[in-house]
Order: sequence, then structure tokens, then C-alpha cells
Amino acid sequence: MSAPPEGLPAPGVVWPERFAARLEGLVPRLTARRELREGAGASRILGVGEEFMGHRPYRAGEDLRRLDWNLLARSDQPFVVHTRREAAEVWWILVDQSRSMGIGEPGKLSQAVSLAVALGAIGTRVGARVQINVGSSLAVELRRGQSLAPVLSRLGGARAEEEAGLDGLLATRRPSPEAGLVALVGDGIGLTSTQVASLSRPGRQLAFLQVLAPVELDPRPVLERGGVLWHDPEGGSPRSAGDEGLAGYEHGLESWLEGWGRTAAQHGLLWRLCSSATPFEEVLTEFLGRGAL
Amino acid sequence: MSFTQPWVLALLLLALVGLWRAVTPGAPRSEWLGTLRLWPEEGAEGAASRRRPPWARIALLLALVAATLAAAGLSRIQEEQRAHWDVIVDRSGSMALPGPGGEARWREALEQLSDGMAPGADLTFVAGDDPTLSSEGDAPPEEWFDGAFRPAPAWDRFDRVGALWLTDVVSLTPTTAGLVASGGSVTPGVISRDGGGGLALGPEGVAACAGTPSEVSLDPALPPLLRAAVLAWAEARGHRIVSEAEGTALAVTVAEGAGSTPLRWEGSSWRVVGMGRAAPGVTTSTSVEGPLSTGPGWLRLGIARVDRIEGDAARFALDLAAVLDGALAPPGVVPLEERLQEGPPRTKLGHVPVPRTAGPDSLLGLLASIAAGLAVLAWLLAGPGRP
Repeated sequence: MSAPPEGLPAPGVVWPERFAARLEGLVPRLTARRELREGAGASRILGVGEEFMGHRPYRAGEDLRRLDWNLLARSDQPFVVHTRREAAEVWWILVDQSRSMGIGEPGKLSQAVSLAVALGAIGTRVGARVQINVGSSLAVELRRGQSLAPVLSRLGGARAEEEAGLDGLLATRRPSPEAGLVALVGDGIGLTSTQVASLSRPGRQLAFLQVLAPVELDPRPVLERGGVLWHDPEGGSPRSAGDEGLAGYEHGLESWLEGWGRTAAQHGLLWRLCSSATPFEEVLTEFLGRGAL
Repeated sequence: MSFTQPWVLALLLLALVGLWRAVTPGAPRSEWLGTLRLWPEEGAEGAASRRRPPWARIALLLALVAATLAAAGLSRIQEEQRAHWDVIVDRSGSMALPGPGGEARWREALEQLSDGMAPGADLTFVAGDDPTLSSEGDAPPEEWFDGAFRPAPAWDRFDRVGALWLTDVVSLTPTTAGLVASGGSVTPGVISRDGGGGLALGPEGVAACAGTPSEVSLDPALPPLLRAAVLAWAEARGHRIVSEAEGTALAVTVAEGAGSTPLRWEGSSWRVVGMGRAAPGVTTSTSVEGPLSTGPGWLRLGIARVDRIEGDAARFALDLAAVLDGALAPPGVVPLEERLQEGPPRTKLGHVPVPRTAGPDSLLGLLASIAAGLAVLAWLLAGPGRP
């Protein structure tokens, strides 16, 4: 039996090159889009408060709690309430710091923390109070006008060394009731749709930024370089990489991700799968562009 | 096998190292995979087939080996065709007599032959008196020189390239054939013998000596008239008639054959009337025209029936006696002319047959084809788009 590789390849946080400068360019661009689209449609994340805006027809898969039951009784047609969230809401972001986040090139943890900071910066831009939680103990708050440097300094010390992933963290860390946006950032290994649904409440938007390493999304390039014995960073027996195993893995991965797609549709979850190698601007632009702005 | 540029073979070491590395299953690399729980457990069968031989790399390396051998100039040296000699063996009685070295003349001649020939020469020994007898190897069968009376070969029939005469007669002068003659000196001894007496060569010349009865066997199928003539000859010479043919000085037999034809056997003053037998091997005798053949120790008659002898019957009996005397081969009797031969050993190989030789057979084309084929195979096994 082959011994596991020595250490995880990317256990710490490595900020993207010129991260702060790139953030300064990204945040105004994304929030400006909200202003252009104000009133043109639903704004699921960058909305401001729960102010009533009107009604629109119900679409299959939407959160039934947003149905206007009175209107349904009168018109016999399903409509959902279209609102804008109140200003000064709370954004609660939880980042996975488990050992499985320590792989990838660049590392999954680096990508997850970068996305969390960028999302937090956007939140503060629209007036939200942002709390970024990394793992079981690390937490920082972002407010509008606050310098990012100390935040980056604190979050830069995070390491993918914890046993618990998002599923384990949710058992101990729960968002405050006033949190208007709850965003989970991690690989989602072990996380269930039930756990995500349990975070839902009226007026709250749930989001899940799922980060996987390139080798997890497509192991073929690694396999083509020769025989491989896979090791799970979070324990368990290693598994050999035969062709049959690869086909089974690809099928399992596809089913798993399809499951998250269904969960997103059923629970109004904003879900975006990305590679740890994808630039954070690209991920957020696409993520927030799905009707979130 | 030979190589025109053997130093190129050093490249084979690289190929062999590569081949060894290709076929030796190395330990699999260890890699992290956070989503490993999605990877199905692999069964025993899957584990066994996990490490498939890298056929593409093996084919490529074998192509390299073939190309290296071609570059080194591998060629196959065809085996050289050795010169082949037909050794015509004199089996006459004198070959058993002592030669100049004291050994039997045939042994001394054979030693001369061995000395004159390259080791491992390709020899076929042929009995000069009966070319249907032959023997491969380094020496003829020893029983060919048992001292029995045999005529000398008709040497002229064997004067050709590739023939070697093995004899004791040094005076022979072949034109193209080789000669290996043991020579010898005058050797006293019996030169003729029958039941009534004999002649022997001694220091004073030929002198009478004591006779020794010889045994003669007669075929029961011999026609009565001929049987009576043979019995009269045996009685006159003092020979004993026995029924068992083996070991006798003369065996008189009737040839077996199907059917019969009118007999044509006649001498200067006689004629035998009867029926002949069309039998293979029955030829005209050398001394008497007729349906008979003879050799040392045997006489075979192609006669089915004799009705009568017309003309001079006494002359017929004398002529038949001459044939019987010639065929009689009593052991130890060597004709006078053979005992009188003398001279030193003589060896003359004559015209050596040219062996068929072939130069190295280059394998360049074959190896290049193999290398190209293996390279294509490696490409096909690797699949399109793969290195």
C-alpha cells in the first residue's frame, strides 16, 4: 500500500495577484449593474431591504413562502411577492476550512476565501454588514469604508486543517436571524440539501459557491501520466485509479452536481460551481449576473 | 551473425533499460482527491487489470531495437558449403596386406587421406568394385577389407573432379581425380588355392603349396544339367558342396523372376537350349556370353530350364569351369599381380571441388521493415493525439 503524499499541496491562503486592486475594479462594476437594472426585475442578492415592489407570476421551483396567498385566493392564480430588501442587512458568509480544501492548483481554500472577501466587499458596497466566517473559529466583519488590509491579513492565516467541512460547521455555526444573505463557500463534500434548506427563512437569500479543484472536476490528465493511488485528505482508504473507477467517478460527480442543481431550483438557492483555477472576477460576475443583481 | 558496425549495439543498452522500465510495474503515484468518496470501490478484477502492459511503449522500444540492429549492420553468415569428395575405395584383397608402415594398406591410405584433407571434410566412401555400396563419415566400413577376393575398381569410370581414389596401387595416373595410394612392397602369400593344392608367392618365386578345400553351395533350383556340370567342376577342384550359402567361397544361385523366354546362351562350339528367366541383375558374363552375373564368391544364373547342350559339351564344361574359378573367392588368397605391387605412399588430391560459398546475407531490409511495422503498431496502440 502506497503512503499518502506528504502534506497537502495548498493548505494555506495565497491571495490572487494584485487582489486588492482587482477588487477595487470589480466591486463598483458589479454594483453599478444593480443600479442600471433597478426596478427591471428581481434582485436576489443585491436588493436593498424587503420593501414591497409588486407581484409577478409564480415560476415552478420557487420558494412557496414567497407566494401571495391572499392574491391566490382572490384570483386563483399563483403570484409571488416582489420585494427589495431593507438596507443595512447582514450578509453571513461561511467558508469551508477542512483538509479537503487544501488541494488544487491554486488551492481551493485560496479560491474560497478570495470569493468570500470579494463577495463581502460587494456587500459592504451596497451597505450590508458582512461577517465572514472561516472554519470553526475564524471570523471577521466588514463594513463600508473599512480598509481591506487587516481583513486580508487575518484571513490569510487560515489553513485547511480542520476535520469539519461545511456540513460539520453548520452544526455549530449558524447565521444570525437578521442575516439577509447566507452564503456558503466550499467544496460541499458531506453537505446535504436538507442542511442548506434548514438555513432558509423568509426574506433570506441562500447562496452556495461550490469550489472544486481541477483534478476533482477532471482527473483524466493526472491519470494519463501513469498509475495513481488516490488519497482522501479527510481520511479513508486510498483507492486505485482504474478505468472502471474513472467512469464511475465521472458518473458519481455528474449525479452529485445535478443534485445541487435540483436543490437550487427547489429552495431558491443561488448555486455556482467553479474551479479553484477560475479567476474570482469571472466566478462572481457570472454568479451575481443570474438575476442576483 | 555478424555486424559491420558493432559499436552501434551500445544503443541497445538504452533500449533495454527503457524496455525494462516499460514492463516493470512501478508503484502508483499517490495523489489527493477531495471528492474521493465519489470514486467507486474497485473490485479484485479491476485491481488486477489496473496495470495493463504499456504495449505502445513496448512496441516503440522493440522498433528501436530492430532499428539499432539494422544500423549495426546485422547480417547472417550463411554456412560455407564444404568441398565434397567421393572416395573411391579399392576393396581388392591386397588392401588387407601390410603397407609400408606395417598397418593394413587401407588403414595407411586412410591416414594419408586424413592428413591431406581439411578437418571435417565432407567424404562419401564408394566401393570401387560395386558403386551401389557407399558410406558417409570419416572411414569406410571395416568389413570392406575382410581379405575376400574382390576385383580392382574400373578406375577410368571414376576419373572426375571430386573423386579420390583410395588404393594401394601407386602406379595409377588419374587425370582429374585425386589419388591416395598407400603403396607397399612385394608381399609373399597364397595367390591361388583349391582342394587339390595351391600356389604361393615366396622368396624364390611362385611355388606350390598345400591346398585347402573350399565350400561351394548350390541352389536347389539349378537345372539338373547345369547342376551336374558344377558338381563335376567342384569334384575336380576338390571343393565341398554344402547346402548353406553363407560363408562359402562360392554360392551358385538361380535368379528369381517371373515368366521365361527362350534361352540364348552359346559358346564357340556349343549352345544351351532351354528357357531363360527375365530377371533383374542377370547380365552378360564377362567371360562367357550368357544369362549370368558373377562377383567374388557368387554366381547367379538367369536360367529356368535347360533342355540340352548342343555341340561340344566338354568345351561348355571348361568354359563354365573358368567362370566358376573366377567367381571362387577363397579367404586369404590375393592374386599374384597384387602381391607384386610395390612403391612408396603417394598422395595427389587432384582437382579440388569448388565449394559453394555465399557471402553474408544482410538483414538490413528485414530489420528496417520490422522497425517500421513496430513503429506503426506503437502509433496505433497509443491512439490518435497521444504522444
